[in-house]
Amino acid sequence: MPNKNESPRHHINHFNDYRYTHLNNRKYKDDADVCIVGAGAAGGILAYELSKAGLKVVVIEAGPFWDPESDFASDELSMGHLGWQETRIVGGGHPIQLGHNNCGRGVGGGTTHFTGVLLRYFESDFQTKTIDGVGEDWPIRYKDLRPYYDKIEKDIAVSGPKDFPWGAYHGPYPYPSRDPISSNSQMFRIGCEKLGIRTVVPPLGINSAPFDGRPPCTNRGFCNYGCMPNAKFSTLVHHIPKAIEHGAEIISDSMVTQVLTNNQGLATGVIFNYDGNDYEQKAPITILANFVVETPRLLLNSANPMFPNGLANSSGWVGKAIMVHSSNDVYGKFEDEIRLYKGTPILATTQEFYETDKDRGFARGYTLHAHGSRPVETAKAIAKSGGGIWGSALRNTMLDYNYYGRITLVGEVLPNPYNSVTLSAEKDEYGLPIPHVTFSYGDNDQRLIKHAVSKMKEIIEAAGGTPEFVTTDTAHLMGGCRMGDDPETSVTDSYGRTHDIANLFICSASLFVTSGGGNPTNTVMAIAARTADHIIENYRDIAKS
Amino acid sequence: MTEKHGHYPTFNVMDEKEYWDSHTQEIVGNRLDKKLTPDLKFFTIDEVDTLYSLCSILLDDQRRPILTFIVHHFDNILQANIGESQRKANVPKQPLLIREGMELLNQVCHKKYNFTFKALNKEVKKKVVKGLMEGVFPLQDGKKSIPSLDFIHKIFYEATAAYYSHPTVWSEIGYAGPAYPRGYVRTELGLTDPWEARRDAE
Repeated sequence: MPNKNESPRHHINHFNDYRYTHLNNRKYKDDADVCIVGAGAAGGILAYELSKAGLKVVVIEAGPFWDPESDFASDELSMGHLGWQETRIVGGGHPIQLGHNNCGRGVGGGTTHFTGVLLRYFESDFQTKTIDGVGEDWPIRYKDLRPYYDKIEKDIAVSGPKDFPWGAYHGPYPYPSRDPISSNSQMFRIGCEKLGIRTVVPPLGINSAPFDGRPPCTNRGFCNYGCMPNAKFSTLVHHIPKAIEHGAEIISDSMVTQVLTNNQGLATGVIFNYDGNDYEQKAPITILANFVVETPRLLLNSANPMFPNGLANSSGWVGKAIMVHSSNDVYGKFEDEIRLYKGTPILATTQEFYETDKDRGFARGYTLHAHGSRPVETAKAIAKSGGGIWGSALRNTMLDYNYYGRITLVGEVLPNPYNSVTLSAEKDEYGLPIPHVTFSYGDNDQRLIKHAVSKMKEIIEAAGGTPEFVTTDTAHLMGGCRMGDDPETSVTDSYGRTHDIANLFICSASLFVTSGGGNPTNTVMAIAARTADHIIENYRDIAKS
Repeated sequence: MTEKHGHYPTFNVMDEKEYWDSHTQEIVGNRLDKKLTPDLKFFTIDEVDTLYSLCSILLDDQRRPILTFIVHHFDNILQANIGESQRKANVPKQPLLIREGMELLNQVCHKKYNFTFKALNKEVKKKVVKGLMEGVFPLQDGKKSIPSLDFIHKIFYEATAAYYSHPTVWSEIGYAGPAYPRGYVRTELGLTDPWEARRDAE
């Protein structure tokens, strides 16, 4: 897809000191140990850990290998291409906004445009069925991920508080909390304090002091559009360059279209397409780290006579039970300027409402963040909030842009097998069916949203503002290839190894069994680090399988 | 223009452009001097007129330079093969949705008011757009139909994104905008960096 790679200057093959604009000098064409599909949060961690352990790693990424200095800009409109813009068909009662909202494209994946919030999941997140009678239990517990959360946070110098009040981990974080915070975050903390709600400056993958050759944050405020000073962690600026130093090969701008299997039912590698031509990458272990929509799509599109319903799909659970976080925003107007554009977007958070409180009338809970916003995001959100805000109503509202504050919900959404990724009848440029993504909120989800919106309004009022607009947004994608102990009701084991194909792994938020009620990236990376350890310890057995 | 005015009448975000990185300077600067011809790739001149009319009503702004940039933004996304992130199953692909939607809009208006949409006076245009936004103005003529709410939302949301990307509009709303490499230093309540829009300039 050369026309999608806006800049012809991008190299597509990267290893050691070599960069090529062609695929004639591939490093591990025939002798890779591991092939990873997708260079996002999970793919980056896997590439780094596995190559550091001495394995020959090839990562194949659909989008470009970005150069932040020349590819990124301080501009919302032009940076939409950090999202996966290829069309997906959406349906269900609450069709999901995809693209930049929740899917990354290019090396770094979603980490190039995430807010940098690195919360841990709570112990109860892994046992919602046992504790609350909803969702499903994970095949792992918090204690299984704890050493990997510790490792990830240390590896990228997460900044955060000395004392964290909620969940299983109470700090301290490797680097001090960000200080000062933004005016919108101050507003949030003032409102919460009046209501007796505890808040913190959240743990962030954003430097509060120089780290690893990257500077501290300059409060430019464009975390969601590509960090230019490299103060925000992404696998683009952290793990992938280190993986290359350890010997990994990164092939970018190349779309994996098929996972290959042999007559023993094992994976032998993948077919990928660069600039209209197909190439093969062989490997004794293949890991799909291409996220919630593309992993099921690739498994389903790779169906063959031995696996007629798609690879790794004997359970029928491939593509089932995808989840989002409810992420409604409340915009409130204040007498004094807030200036939502300034500073790291999220610098104040509460998890006071995270776990089940039976008095509230719904199971599980949510996180609230003060959340900065630039003009395009703000105007589009207000335009979509309904109530006839267009023409002069929108224009007059936006003239007061600097007087608005915003709070955002990250709410748990319970898994439902009818929320799914399937194949549509429409084909893409490779002739492959494009995905159909179906999503509807359930009753519990809607009751949670109602509670959270009311709480966000209370906070804005307590801070002296007037709630004016509520937007119905979602954030993040999870599930669709869930892990589990039972091969009849899950796609992989707890390490992401598919039940059906012993040398095929899945590693991303696809594996999530429930959504949790906080930002998922830290958990994605902890799972990836755990899978990497498992593969390193058992490489010979898995590769021989 | 509306009666309401911004809080920062003397602020011009472009005064600060030399402090921005060159990539951002290029992208934002290019929005200021867009000309209509000959570089449009998707739209015909007739279509451009209809799109101008729709955007000026939806955004309550008649300024040609800004509307021209918006038309270019639409032209870019419609002629490029980059995908539209998501589309509902019953909705046509965006080039068809917009092209046929505008054609039907002109036809339906002609039947109803004896003028195409773009030739209507401002008040009737507003009435039509209100009907579209409320889902009570079907875009149907004989066998041809386009989902009118999806059509007007596509135009409205994309036009809004482009409008609030225009530096003239940034200046009006007091958005100081790009801040790389220098960043923002004074981020707390009541504080502004010296180069940001200030109310005391009123």
